[in-house]
Amino acid sequence: MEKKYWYLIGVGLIIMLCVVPFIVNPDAEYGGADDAAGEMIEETGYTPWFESIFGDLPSETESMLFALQAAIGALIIGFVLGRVTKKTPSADKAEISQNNADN
Amino acid sequence: MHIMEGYLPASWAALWYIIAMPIVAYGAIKLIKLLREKPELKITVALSGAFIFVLSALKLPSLVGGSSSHPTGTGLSSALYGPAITAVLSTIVLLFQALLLAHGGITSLGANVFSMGIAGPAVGYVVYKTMRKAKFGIAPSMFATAALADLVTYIVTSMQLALAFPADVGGFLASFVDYLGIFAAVQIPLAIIEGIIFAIFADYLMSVRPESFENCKIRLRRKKSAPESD
Repeated sequence: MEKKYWYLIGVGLIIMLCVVPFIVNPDAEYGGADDAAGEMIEETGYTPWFESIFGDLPSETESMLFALQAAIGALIIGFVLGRVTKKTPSADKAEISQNNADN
Repeated sequence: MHIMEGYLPASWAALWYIIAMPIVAYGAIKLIKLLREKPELKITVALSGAFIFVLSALKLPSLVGGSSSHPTGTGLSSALYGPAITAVLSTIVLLFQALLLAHGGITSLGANVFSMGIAGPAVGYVVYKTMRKAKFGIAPSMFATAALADLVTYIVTSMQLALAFPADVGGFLASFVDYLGIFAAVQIPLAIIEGIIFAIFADYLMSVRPESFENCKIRLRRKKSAPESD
């Protein structure tokens, strides 16, 4: 029980760290740091020498792919979490041999 | 930390490829050997990679600097498997992002793999080993590992850009400070977020599967020691 409390505090802190920026600094653009660095490089008069192979995808497609990337990762994490939570490895093996016996 | 496609001069791009790729190759060999000898680790390797997938897709607003950036997600992988295998997992994610998301690039892949997959995780790995040896609990150790792996990644990116684009006045150092302002400062709150995520998750994993934290090295002989706990 004690453990769950600090998990909750941790999650609360994470949410706070994501929400507070908009309260403290509501007018900021929150543009990407990667792009900011790119702009800074361009200010030195440098022009990129290579373009993205597939060009710029429409922003709708790009956000879909980002969501897809997160979804793939979350799917795997959820799968692993389910497995490690449910049983100990020895129970796993016991069940597998049980299943084999049943078949 | 993604240096954008074409934004790194060709000579620097080549140099970072030359530095990063042997480590990725070594990591790939190590990973294959690890999975062959200890197939039971497949699940935690997949988990470590999945964290990199999820977290590096999330662009979060930062309290500092009014811009957004993303965590790296390399904490668990760094702690368990070290920088070489983390480099392999990061390369997969960075390739996906470079090809499909126009995030980072093929030309800057070497540099990005070095910062996110090698330099950050190397520091994280050393921190993790040191703290665990000093008998710190799994949660604080993993917090420091993940947060530092994240932060160091962005410091190294700043360094890479400063090396390629030293300022006219003040040279490398002045330029380094400028890029640190864009990357590292913004990253501090995100590194804390990443640290908390991994601290909670590692603590949980330790309570259900303590053996995930041992027995991760292929050179070490398998031993059944008592489960560590806080």
